[in-house]
Amino acid sequence: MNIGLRNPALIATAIASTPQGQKAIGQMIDKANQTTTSSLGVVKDVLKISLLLGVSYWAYKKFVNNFSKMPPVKNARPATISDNLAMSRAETIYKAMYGVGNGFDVVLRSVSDLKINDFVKVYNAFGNRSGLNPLGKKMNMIEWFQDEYKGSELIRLRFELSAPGAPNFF
Amino acid sequence: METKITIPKIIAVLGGAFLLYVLVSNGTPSKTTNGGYIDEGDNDIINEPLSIANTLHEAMRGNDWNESDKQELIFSTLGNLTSVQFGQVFKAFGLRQYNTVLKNDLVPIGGWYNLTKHGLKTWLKNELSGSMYVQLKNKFKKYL
Repeated sequence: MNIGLRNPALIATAIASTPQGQKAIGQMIDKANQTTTSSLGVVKDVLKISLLLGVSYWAYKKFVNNFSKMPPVKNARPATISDNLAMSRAETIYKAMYGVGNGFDVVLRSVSDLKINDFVKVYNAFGNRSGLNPLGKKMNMIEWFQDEYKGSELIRLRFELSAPGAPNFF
Repeated sequence: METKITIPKIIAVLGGAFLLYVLVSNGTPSKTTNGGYIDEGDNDIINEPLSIANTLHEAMRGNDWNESDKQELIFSTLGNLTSVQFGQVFKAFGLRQYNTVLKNDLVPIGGWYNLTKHGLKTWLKNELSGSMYVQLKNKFKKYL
């Protein structure tokens, strides 16, 4: 076909209307359809995998009690209380907060004679514990404090554990 | 018997040594430079006890601070002080005019009478509730 310098749009239409042109266009459309079908399949697979991952993650978070221990604070005296005392102190604190009333006075007393790394030991002994709702989220001791106590009470609890250079636990 | 020193083996040994170092260094607490623990009051003295005293004074003297903000300021400021540092602030505060009945330092216009001056102990005792004051007293036994 002699094309020369003509209007490109007219030329394209001319080529498209030839049998070869029609075949090429048909092939292009088929290929496009195939790609769409196979990419739809891929999308479906990705969605399935994401759903599976999402459900697995939710189940893991819900049912696996993954408490991570707090390391001791450097530069503060190493813990001096025994494991038994740490556990019984954790129990005292838990019982005070559990159920009706937040037991602030008891918890304040329980925390005031703990030095920083003793507190860390009690925190670790406490682990994750559930509230009145056994299916509810289990919380560590600090999450319990933040849940039970309002600002001014938290400040008073924080005071008992403050020291220059010490981290803020809550 | 020939033992080949291969690169993976070197990496493994170095990695193991590093891991051991990390475990050991995290397990043993290190003291502060002056040899004391941070929670045992063996720290340096503070440079600006007067500015801390003034901050406390400003929060307690008038009627414009609400109770919970005042408490938050007092507890967070004093929480970061050791006994020795509190002593510095206590001395820097000195004696300041205070109306123990109205819990402020406001004098009527014209100032036809002077309020008695009181130290930080009296101020804190009047500004905070009983149980709050007891908390501070337990930490700063020497001064409160």
